[in-house]
Amino acid sequence: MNLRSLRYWLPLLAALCSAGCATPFYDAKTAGPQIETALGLAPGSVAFHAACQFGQAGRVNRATEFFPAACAADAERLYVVEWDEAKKAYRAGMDVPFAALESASYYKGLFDEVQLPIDGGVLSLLTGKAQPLHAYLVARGVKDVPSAGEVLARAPPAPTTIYVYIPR
Amino acid sequence: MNRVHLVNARHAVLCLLFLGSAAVAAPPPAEYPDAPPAAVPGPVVAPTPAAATPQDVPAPVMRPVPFAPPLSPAPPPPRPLPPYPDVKAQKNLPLLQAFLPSLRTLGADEGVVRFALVTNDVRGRRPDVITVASTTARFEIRPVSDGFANNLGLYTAVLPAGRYHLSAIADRVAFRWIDFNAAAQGGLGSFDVRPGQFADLGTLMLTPNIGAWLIGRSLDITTPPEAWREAAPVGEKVLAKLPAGGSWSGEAFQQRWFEVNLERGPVGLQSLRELPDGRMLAPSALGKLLVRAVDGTWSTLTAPRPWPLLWATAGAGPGEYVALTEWNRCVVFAADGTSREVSLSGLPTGRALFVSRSPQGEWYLAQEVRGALRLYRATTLDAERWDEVGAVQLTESLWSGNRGAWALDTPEGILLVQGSKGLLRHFRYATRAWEDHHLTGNRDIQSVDLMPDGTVSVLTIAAGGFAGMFSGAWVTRDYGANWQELNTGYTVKVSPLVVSGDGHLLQAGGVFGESGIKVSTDSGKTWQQLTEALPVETRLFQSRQNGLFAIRRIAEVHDVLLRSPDGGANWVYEWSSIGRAGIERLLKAEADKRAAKAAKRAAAKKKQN
Repeated sequence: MNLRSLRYWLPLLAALCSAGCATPFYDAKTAGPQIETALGLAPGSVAFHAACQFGQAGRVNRATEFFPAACAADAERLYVVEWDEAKKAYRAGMDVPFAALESASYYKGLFDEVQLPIDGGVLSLLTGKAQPLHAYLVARGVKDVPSAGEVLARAPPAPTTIYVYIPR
Repeated sequence: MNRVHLVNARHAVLCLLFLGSAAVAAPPPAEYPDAPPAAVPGPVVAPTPAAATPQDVPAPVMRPVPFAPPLSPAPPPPRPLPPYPDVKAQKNLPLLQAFLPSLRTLGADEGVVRFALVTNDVRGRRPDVITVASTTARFEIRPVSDGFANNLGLYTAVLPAGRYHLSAIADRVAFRWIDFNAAAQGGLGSFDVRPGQFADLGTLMLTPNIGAWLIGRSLDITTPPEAWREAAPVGEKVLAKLPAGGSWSGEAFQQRWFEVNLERGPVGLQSLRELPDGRMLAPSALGKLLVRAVDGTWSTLTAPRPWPLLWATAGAGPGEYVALTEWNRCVVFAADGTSREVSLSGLPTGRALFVSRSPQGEWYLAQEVRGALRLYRATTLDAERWDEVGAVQLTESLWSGNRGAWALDTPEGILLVQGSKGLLRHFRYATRAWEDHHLTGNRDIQSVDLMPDGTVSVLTIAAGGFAGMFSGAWVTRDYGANWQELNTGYTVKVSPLVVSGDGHLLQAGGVFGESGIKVSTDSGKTWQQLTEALPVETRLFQSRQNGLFAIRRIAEVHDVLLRSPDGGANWVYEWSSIGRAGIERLLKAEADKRAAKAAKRAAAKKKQN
């Protein structure tokens, strides 16, 4: 792992905190049934789930913001669900059959990642259970390829705004 | 000079200051300001009597131009305006992520939306995130075009069925965040997403205007299907199975006006350069290549697509030009004014930033790819294979963020500059060999300038540890083998020294004092103020045959090119992105403000005495 600039360390540390603290919605005991309900799956079908931070980075610029979520997998598909605070329920996010996943990479760093190539770049799942998740995917036929490097966490945008007009 | 985009802590602070000032300085008017601000006299720029410019067109950009004769003498009844969305209520909606169609099985109440956004702005890139809002939630949509494009963003997402407004866009690398106010959202119109259907919203265009940004739906510009197929191959297969349905509702106003004026004002001038025969090229946004002939007249060449041009050079044939554009493509402009696109398919996915043709007829192209600026070589632009010749790294520092890299044309070859540890790598065409040298003390470099005689001028990173609080100005006349540090006119330096045609040293600056240009005629021992009429961020460009140029930005977003006939003391207008009339109005207002400030300072000094 390379030393990174403060700009990257600070958000990464924030991501570390948030991995443990910013996913209060995730309760390992109840998440399985809740995720199954959100996804309309049969009870007991989710074989793997974990709290995660997910981020969608580009091909060249491998830095992005990470968002609190939960990842899950059943016998055939990988899911990422967001927490809808208004409804106090999980909301379906990503939903991909293993057969449609081109490959999966495991990046071991300060925070472990599972990286999946997607349209436009790479999807990173930053989770404490990255290694078991990666192993789960590989065991179900997803090709294992070496990681091209860390997907860096980026700070949220500056709060200042400017305004846009259109001619009337 | 072509520089890979950088962000460091200081950049971020400057951006925040700029954004803050923009927000304060430009409160949103109820309607678009049709009337220009009052012109105030002030001797800032002496106009050139008969310099033909691409902006010498009847109307400045601010004024609506009818694009078709009226069909009836009676004016049509005013159309009802679309209702404005409740922007305040939008802010309180939950913010959710919109997923790509390739990552999700479409739900029964979900549809897919797709659109492109072309930004008329060389400083920025395509936005990282576009936020759309319905009445129940906001969704963030991310581009799929990263790695192919700078100012062209392609966006596709699955959204719950419903009606949406464009709420905000953000470039999170450049720390820019633009909120669409109610007028913008209402005027642009809303779009519908229908269950199980795919809505193609076409191409949007975002352009700066005086004190504001404009957004519109383009009637003329379409994004080619192959771009979508390259950017989102899996998603396109999903979309191919969906019926088309859902689109913009409501008619956006005066789109043709918007587009006509947009075409007249491409933002550009980032990579101004001079060819050996004295012609000058300035690649610009919206597929425009600005060409300055030897006699000083400007003309505009247009690429087949309105994608930004990043770097231009002379082509293989007489009167030909080659310009790099988005999507691993370049544009060849023929002598007869026609243009064609050439795919650089032999290159890896990356951002092509520099191209040059050696005297031996080989093409050299520098591309930002995999954390480095890599130089490739091929015999033709459409070669199936480009060979890597060398590279410099894009690195990061624990203390002050990223380090850049530059590719420059020298009289004998190509110079790659790596910001980290001040590495200069010079590739000579004749020997096909690299010469590597470091700046004295391996100091990190923050900016580079190359003079026509091959002198390289660099500015080191500020805050480089004890006794290195301020940037240093260094020059080398042998591509880094020997360096000389020069005293400069400004303690806080923001740009490298420029060696003028008569051997004098020039520097633009003045962060905390009077901004302008200082000159030294004794190799930096003493400095005199040459002019105060230019702001601190002005970039100077010394050409071999056409004199000294200054590129500056005015009202935060408009480029202005000025030329000095007398080594920097006086400046005349050459070109600007909003035309001569508009820019002179802004420059005069600026001069008046500066004069008022000087008068106030003088009065305070007098009172003190």
